[in-house]
Amino acid sequence: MSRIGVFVCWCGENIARTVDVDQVAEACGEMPGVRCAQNYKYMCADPGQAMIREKIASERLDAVVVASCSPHMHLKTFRRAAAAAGLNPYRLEMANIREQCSWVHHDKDRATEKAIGIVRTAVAKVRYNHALSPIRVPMTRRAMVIGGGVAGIQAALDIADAGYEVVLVEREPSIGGKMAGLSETFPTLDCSQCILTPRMVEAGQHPRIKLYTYSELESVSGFVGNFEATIRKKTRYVDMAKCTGCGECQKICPLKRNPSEFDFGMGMRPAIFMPFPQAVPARPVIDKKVCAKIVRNGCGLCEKKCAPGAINFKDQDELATERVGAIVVATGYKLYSIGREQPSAKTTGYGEYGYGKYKDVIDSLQFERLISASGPTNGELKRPSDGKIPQSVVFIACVGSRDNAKGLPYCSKICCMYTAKHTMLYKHKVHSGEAHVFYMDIRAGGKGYDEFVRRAIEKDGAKYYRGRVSKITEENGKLIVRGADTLAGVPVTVETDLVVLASAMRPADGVERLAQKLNIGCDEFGFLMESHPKLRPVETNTAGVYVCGACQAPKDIPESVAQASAAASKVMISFSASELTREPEIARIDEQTCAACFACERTCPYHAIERVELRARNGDLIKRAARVNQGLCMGCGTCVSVCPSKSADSEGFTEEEVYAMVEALA
Amino acid sequence: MSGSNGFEPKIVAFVCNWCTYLGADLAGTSRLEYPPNVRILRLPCTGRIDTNLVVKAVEGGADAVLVSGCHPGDCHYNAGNYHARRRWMLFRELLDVLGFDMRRIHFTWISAAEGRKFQHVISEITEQTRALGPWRAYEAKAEIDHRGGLVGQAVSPATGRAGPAPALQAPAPLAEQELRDLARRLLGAGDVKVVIGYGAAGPVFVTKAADVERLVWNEGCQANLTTYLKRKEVRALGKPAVVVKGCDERSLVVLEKESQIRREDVRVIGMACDGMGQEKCAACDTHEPRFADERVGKAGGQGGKPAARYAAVEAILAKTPEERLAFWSAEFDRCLKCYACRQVCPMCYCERCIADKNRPQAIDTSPHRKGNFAWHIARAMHLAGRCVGCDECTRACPAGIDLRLLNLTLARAAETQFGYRAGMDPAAEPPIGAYSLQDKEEFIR
Amino acid sequence: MSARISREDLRKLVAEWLAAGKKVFGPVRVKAGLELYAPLDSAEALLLDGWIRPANSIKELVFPRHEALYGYRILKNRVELVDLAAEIPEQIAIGAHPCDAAALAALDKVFNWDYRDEFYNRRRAATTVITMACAAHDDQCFCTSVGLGPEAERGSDALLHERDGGYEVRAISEKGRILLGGLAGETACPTAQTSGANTPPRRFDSAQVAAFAKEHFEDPYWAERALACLGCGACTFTCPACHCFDMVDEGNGREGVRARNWDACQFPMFTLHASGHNPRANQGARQRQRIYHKFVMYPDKFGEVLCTGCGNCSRNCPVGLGVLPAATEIGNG
Repeated sequence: MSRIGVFVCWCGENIARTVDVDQVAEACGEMPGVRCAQNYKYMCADPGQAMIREKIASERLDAVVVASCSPHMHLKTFRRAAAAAGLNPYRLEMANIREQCSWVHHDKDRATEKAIGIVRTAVAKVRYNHALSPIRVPMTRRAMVIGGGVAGIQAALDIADAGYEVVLVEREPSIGGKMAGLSETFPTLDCSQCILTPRMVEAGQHPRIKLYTYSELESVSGFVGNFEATIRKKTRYVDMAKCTGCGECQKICPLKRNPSEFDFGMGMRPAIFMPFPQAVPARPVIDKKVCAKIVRNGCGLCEKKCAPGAINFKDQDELATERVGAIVVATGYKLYSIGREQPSAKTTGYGEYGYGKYKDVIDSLQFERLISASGPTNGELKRPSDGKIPQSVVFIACVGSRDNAKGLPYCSKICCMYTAKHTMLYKHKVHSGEAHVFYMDIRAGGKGYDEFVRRAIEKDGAKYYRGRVSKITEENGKLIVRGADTLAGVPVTVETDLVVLASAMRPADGVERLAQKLNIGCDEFGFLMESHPKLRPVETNTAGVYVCGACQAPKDIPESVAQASAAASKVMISFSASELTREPEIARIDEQTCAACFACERTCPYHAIERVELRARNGDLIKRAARVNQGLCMGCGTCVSVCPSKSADSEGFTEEEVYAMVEALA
Repeated sequence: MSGSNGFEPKIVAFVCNWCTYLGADLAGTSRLEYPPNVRILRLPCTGRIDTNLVVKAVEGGADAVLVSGCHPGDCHYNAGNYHARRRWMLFRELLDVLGFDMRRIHFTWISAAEGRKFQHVISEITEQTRALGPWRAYEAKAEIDHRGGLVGQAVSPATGRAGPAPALQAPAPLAEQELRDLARRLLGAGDVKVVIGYGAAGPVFVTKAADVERLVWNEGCQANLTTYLKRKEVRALGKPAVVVKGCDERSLVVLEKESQIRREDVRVIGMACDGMGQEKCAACDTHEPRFADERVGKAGGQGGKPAARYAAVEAILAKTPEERLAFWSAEFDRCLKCYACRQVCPMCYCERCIADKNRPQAIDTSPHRKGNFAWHIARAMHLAGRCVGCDECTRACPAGIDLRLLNLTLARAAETQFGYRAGMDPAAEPPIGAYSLQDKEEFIR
Repeated sequence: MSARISREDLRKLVAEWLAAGKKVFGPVRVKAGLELYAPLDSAEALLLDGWIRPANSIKELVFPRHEALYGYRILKNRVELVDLAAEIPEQIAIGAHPCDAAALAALDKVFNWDYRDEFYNRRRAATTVITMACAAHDDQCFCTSVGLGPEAERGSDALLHERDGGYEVRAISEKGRILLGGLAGETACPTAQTSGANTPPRRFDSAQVAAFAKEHFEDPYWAERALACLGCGACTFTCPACHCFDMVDEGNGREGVRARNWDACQFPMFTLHASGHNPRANQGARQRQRIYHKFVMYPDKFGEVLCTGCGNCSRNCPVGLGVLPAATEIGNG
């Protein structure tokens, strides 16, 4: 027979006014297994807790029910009190007779009767409660950051500066990301590269940051604190150790007219190239699709030219393994491909703007390169078709954003700001030029943001039209932009030299595959899912995996950096102890009765089910079974419901406990 | 407060810890009064709320049941409520066919902020249930002869469905010879250790090439022999070849999906079949095996009429709930709990059946009405989205219980709601264990 | 001296019993292809035409599939038992087969050889069995192989012979005599047949079955024979003579009933120990047990075979097993 103690709280008048606490205690005293039942004015107060501790000792109680408020209020309080008296805290249950009884009923008889019923279910349950101990998971205090843009660099530096090793994985030949290619940044107009490149160098030289550029995550196994990442180092054909970054190979390479990825096709690069002069690491890579030596075994000039002998045409992909305890995903964004992409599959978005058809219709990142001092035109704005300086530029905002019919429903957040910036930079370079902007709304929330837009309009004289552009055509080397000014209520036609489309922000290519590898979620647009939009903005639903930057949602540089530091701090929190302590109220599987159908595996929201093979001492396979990874399980119990034999069970809410509760209602 | 007859309904609410339980707490902190008829049971997530629990609550005398959790997108555990939503959908279809009073089974999403919604929902359910009166329709409260005896009504209402289809044509003796030749070859070459096939008086396990004459192929080959793949006595014989019809073969697809067999460990001998004169044969669209390693014969019959596939379900749904419940009560009263339905089922491969688990006793082992309802509900739910419709349970039942109708009910739900037919497409995602954001939820308040 | 009753009068008699509040059980057609012994709600429901072998047996009248023995209440420091004993109404089985009735005689011994089972005896005392001699048989019938026949009297209180559109009635026991009163004769039916169309051939020798079972206890024969067996309880539950049961407590944490339910030696759980060890570890051992019990153990104790040759096990087996196929193999020299 159990020795259960029941403690009924008056909560001052809060419970006692509506519930006859004497009667409840008396009724509880008669319940099977109850050793003693008492009531007291404030169970949560020190004397109340002392009473519980004293009774646990004097009556040798093996379980306790506190009938008081919601467990969300005081379960931890009372469990601590029980633990202090030597009772396993999980052998204590609460019966909620305040929020769910005394506060919502007036009829004292019926409220008392209900309170007794509520305590009865708790008494029935607690008899079966298992004594549990916290789960400890070893923590590898080493992090991996995926994506070497500004967010990834920030996160990596923060974690490394805190004293932990970081593995930074970047799929391009250099870290730096999109920001490395930007001209100047809003709202301060400071040079993007000037602020970023020192951070890149710092990351590249940091003693605790291990850089994997031109590399991609192949797979991840394990769980929080114990991930094992396999990283594919793509074939570079350049020996990173031997190369000095002198650049002679680039000069001698005869195949110089290849569209530069870094310049978004606005400039050209050789077949062996560093994406940009400040690349980190300052090592070139050979484009194997173009290189004459690789394509048809010709040329080979760079190999001959390279003094240290760093060129290696026999190079192959390599797989590296890294053990880490936490992963930060910072894979960033790409631009919506105007006229091609159809995420909603309704129409080909914005084909009418002639992007890809007219050379002088470009997107915003291409424009960034055209006005960047480090760009293909050395900062002189020349339009792509004929190299002329445009005397008029039309900027179109919301191309793909906020458009359910042709594009994406969300706001890309940064376009209003960089479009204003573009008009300014343009006007600063071409003083006589005309900047026209077609917009839907101006969203300039942020420190100094609205002032910045106002400056573009009022000081630099950009012409803003609130309206959409219906069509762009080309006539005699001029682009004819037909739109509307809905404030004036008139159609607007602008003859212009260059059109810049502020395309929507999309998650980077391949992010869904990456999300699958990491067992994290994507929203319908491919942005990675945070665990809670407000309270857990950088955590994901897989313990130990964090997100930051534009891979989670469109955001600007300050926000990306702030989020990166937040993710880094979460990683550091998890690294603050050598073991991770987790709540023990999670699922377990009886491997003896498990039929290995793995319905639990299909259902588990946390991918916490593993397949195990049970073997005899001689190695013979006895059976297969499912097993719960204690580092991943969050205790939702969905596996229990789908387990046909109920070999799965959830601690804290075991089948025995739950059925005892239901039966106690009868 | 109380009804004119003084009846106070008992309402059992299964709620998730993170949304509805907190919603109820909020109703408390906001002092939003509602009738004290509800008993709230806190579980971590709606995903944890097993349908057996709801049945247990009804058995225990609940007059209405509420299941409530987080709104879609708000689940504390990402997706528990989506899994639950799917399960409830199937569960409701089943209870409806069984004739349960659906006005007493409620599903809601109530968030932690919706104290007022909680108050309204409980008040409404209490009022509604009070007006309905005690839930006596369910057998738990019916006056059954608890002391036993031959129970059951002699005559069950007709289900209004067509009789079994005649065999389209007698299976060809040629096929029988071909089958024996094939078995001889497989056994002779040592490709397989045993051929599981049909014999003159039941299944046979041919282990020697000389014994292949024991194999027959005739209009009596109704059994689904894939069920033997789960039996350890048969497994011990070594690699099997199993003789299947197009319909039986579907169970292999499910078994492989559920990691019970590895396809390469089983040689499948597919028999073209024009029907075995069973009810299922009328709507058959798998006369020809599709995945078999070896194929024997050629079916002469035309494809089945898929429209007729679920005619029996529609026929029973045309009756009133009271008639349905009376029908099933009579059916289940004949149940002996011999578990022939379970043992013969290729999908019932658990090492320890839930019905044999007694800590806790989710399903009463006794063959009384309560225990029989609980068992057949649990079995049907376990087969939801898995049953391939071989109808072996119905064939095996010595009490002639119309078990196929239960399975068809959920097969119909799986097909109409999720476009899924178990065992038809090896690439298709089974409906249980998956979910879609678009799953219907018009039954959830 | 025998007496006759017409079909109409027999139905009238049933109607009178029902009107008098007696529970009357007989073969009924539940649905196409399914006949069962079941309570009659009217005399018309009784199946009299054609030879019918119901899929169940009349053992349920005396040994129900589920029987609550007593109730209990859990109080603070003790458990209180609640007597559920209720009057068992007088119950009559009409149209039972001789193979059903004979099984009751076997059950009487089991339930009274050491411990006298009051629950069984109470029902047995309230039960009168009016047997209908078989007019035909099918190829699963084998009563003649186990010492019975289509007109065997064992276990019956009265016996009906179908003759010329009516029935010759003979009381066998005092109970039968009382129930039927002046309707029943006393002597054997003069036209009774001991062989003919209603008599199945002797299909095996039960002594040989017993001898084989004893001598070949460890023979691989059993495992081979049982390969097809799926381990359900269809054979034992529809057998008129199988009588194993399980005890269960059913209820909530405060009150409940202790009940006995049928159990089956074919279930792997039947002999499963709490340790996980199972002395009958495979289906072969379980199949052997059923034959062994019926042909060796019971006869050793009570001098007769625990099988009445009804053939229900084979008819109800989904995979064509049962006593007959095995006994034919091992009981024919």
